[in-house]
Amino acid sequence: MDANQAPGTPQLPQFDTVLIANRGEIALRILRTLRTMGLRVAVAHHAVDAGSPAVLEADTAVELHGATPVAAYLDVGQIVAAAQGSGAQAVHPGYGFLSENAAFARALAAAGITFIGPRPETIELMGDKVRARRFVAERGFPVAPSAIEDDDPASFVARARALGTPLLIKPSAGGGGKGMRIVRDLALLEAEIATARREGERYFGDGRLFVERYVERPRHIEVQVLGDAHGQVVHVWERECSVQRRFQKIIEETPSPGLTPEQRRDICESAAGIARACGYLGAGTVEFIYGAGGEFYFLEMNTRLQVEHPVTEAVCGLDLVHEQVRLARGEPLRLAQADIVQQGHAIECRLYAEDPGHDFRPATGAILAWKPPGGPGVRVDAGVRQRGHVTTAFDPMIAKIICHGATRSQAIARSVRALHDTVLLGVTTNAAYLTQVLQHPEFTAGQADTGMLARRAAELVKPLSEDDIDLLLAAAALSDRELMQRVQAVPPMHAAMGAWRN
Amino acid sequence: MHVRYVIDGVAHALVATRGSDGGVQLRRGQRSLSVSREALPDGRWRISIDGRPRVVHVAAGADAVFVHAEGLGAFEVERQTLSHATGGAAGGASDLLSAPMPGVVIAVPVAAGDTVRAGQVLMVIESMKLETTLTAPRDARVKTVHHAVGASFALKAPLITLEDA
Repeated sequence: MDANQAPGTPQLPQFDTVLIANRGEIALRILRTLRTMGLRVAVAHHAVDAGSPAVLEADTAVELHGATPVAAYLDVGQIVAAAQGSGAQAVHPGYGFLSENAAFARALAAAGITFIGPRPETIELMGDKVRARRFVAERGFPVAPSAIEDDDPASFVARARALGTPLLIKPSAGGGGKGMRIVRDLALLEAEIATARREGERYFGDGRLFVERYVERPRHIEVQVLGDAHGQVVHVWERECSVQRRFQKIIEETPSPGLTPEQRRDICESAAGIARACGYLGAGTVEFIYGAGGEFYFLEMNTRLQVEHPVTEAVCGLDLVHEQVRLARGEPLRLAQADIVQQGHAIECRLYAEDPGHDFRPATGAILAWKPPGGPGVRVDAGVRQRGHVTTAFDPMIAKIICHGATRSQAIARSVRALHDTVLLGVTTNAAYLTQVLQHPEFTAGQADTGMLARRAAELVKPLSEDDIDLLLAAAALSDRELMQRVQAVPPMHAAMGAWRN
Repeated sequence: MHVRYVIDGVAHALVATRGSDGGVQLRRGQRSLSVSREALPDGRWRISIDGRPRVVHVAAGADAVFVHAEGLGAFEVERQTLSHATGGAAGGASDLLSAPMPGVVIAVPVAAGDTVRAGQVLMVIESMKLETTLTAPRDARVKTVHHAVGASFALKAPLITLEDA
C-alpha cells in the first residue's frame, strides 16, 4: 500500500476503499490521489451527476436521493449507508456540503468509518465564529477588537459604538459575506444593525450579530496547516485570496505579494500556534485579515480542504489529499517545518459560469465544447466534460486553472496564456474577465485588496472593438446553415455583372 | 438576405449575399465585408475577413452560436428571428425583461403605470443565493409587473413588461 506508512503501527485504521461524499472538480481531484495510493474509490452522487467525470471514473458509484440535488449531498444517513454498502472504511468529504459538519463526523465514527478530517470537537469549536474568536484571543493570538451581541444583548449597541468607526457588522452564524455591513457613520449604526439582523435571519435563520473593527483596504491571507494524531503541527505557508467579487474568492496565489519575510513568518507561526492549541488533526486553513498597516487579525478556521489548496501544492511540492489520508490513518507528519519550502509562485483562477458584464449573474447551459489549457506549469482541476451541463443546482464554479512559475510575473503570464487557451463554449464564463484582472496594474503590482474588483469595475470590462464584432458576426453568419443555403441559392450579382466586364 | 444577430444584448443587422469568390459578402451599416471560412483539421475555423485571417472555435447551440477567438474569449451570438427583428425596440433594448435564471422575487420598487428612467431599479431577484438587480434598459412606463415579492419563477419567465412612456 502506501510506501510512506510508518512501520510498527498495526493499530492504525486501515482502509482499502474510500467513499468520496462530494461532486464536481473536487471529487475528481480526490479520486486521482486515492488511485495513486492504491485505494479503491466509491463516489456518492445524485442522479444529476451520473454522467460527471468523477462518477464515470469511480470503482463504485452509489446514487443518493433527495428533494433537491443539494439535499442529497447533505443527507448524513444516506451517505453513511453508502459508505457501508460500498465497503468503504473511510469517507473524504471534500469541501462544502458535509465537510464541516460535526454530526456527520460523529455518525461515521459510530459506524466504525474514518472521517478524513479533524475531530468532531474541533469542527464544532471552529464552526461557531464567536467561540472560535474567544478561543483564539484567550490563547494570545490577534483578533480584531469586537463586540459580541450574545455577551450582553442589552448593551450591544453601546459596546459597538465604543469601538469607533469604521465597523463591520457580521451575523454570528454567517459565512460567504451574507449580511455583512460596513458602518462609517455611527448615526447609521442602529439602522445597519437592523438590516444585518434581517439578512442573518433570512440566510441563516439566526439574527444574532457581532461587530468588529473594520480593516481598511483589507487583504485576505490564509495559512495552510497540517496536524497529526500525535500533537505535531506544521504550517504549509500562506495563500493570498484578496481578489474577491461579492466576498467570493476568484483568484488566489502564493506566496502573498504583500508580506515581508518577517510578516510571513509571524502570520504562519500564529496559524500553526492556533492549530496546535486546538489539537488539530488533518489539513486545515486559518484565515486572517491583513491591514494596510501590517496588522493582522484571526478571521476563522476552515476545518477542511480549501478550494484553493492547489497553489500550496504547486509551490511546496505536496499532495495535500495524500497527506490528509495519511493523517487520518494516524500516521505521523512526514515533513518537519524546515523541510517545507516555497518554490516559485503559483496562481489559481476560478472559472465560473457567470457573466461579469452583467453583475456576475450566473449562467447555465449545455457545454458544447471544452478544451482545457496545457503547457509548462499549468494544472487544470475540472469536473465538467463536453456534452455535460451547467445547471442552477450547484455552485457555478466550472474549473480551476492553476499556474506555477519561477516568479510571480511568470505565473501571471502563464495564467493569462492559459485563460486565453481555455475553450468553453455553450455557457458564458468569467475567463476573459479574469485575464483583465490579472493584467490590471493594481494586481500586477501586488496591491490588490478585497475591494479591488468593486473599485476598478469600470476598468475591468473590455468593450468589444468593431473588428471583434465583425469577427463574431462573420462566424455567426458562416455557421448559420439556413442563411448560407439561402445565400448560395441566389445567383450572385457578380455573375450577371461579370458578363458585362468580359 | 437580411438577418439580425444579438451580441451581449445589442442587435446587429446584416445583409448577406453570395460573394464572387465562393465566399459571402456581409453588409453591416455602411460597410461591406468579404468573408469566407476554411475548416482546420482540428475542428477550428480560419475565418477570413477582407483577406485578414483569424482562427476561431465555433459551436452551434439551440438558438445561438458560440465563438471563441484568441485574445477575445468566448461570446454567444444569438440569431434574432424576423418577427423579433421587426418588432424590436431601438438599439436592441427589449420591452420584456425575462428571468436570466430561475429564482425568487426579493423586491419590486415599481408598480404598473410608473414612469421609469433608463438604469432605474425595477426588480431585485435572488438566484443561486445571489441577488441580482434588474434595471430599466431605457426610459419607459411599467406596463406589467408579472411577479410579486416572494413569488418564484422559472428561467426566461417574464418579469416586467415596459411600454413607451
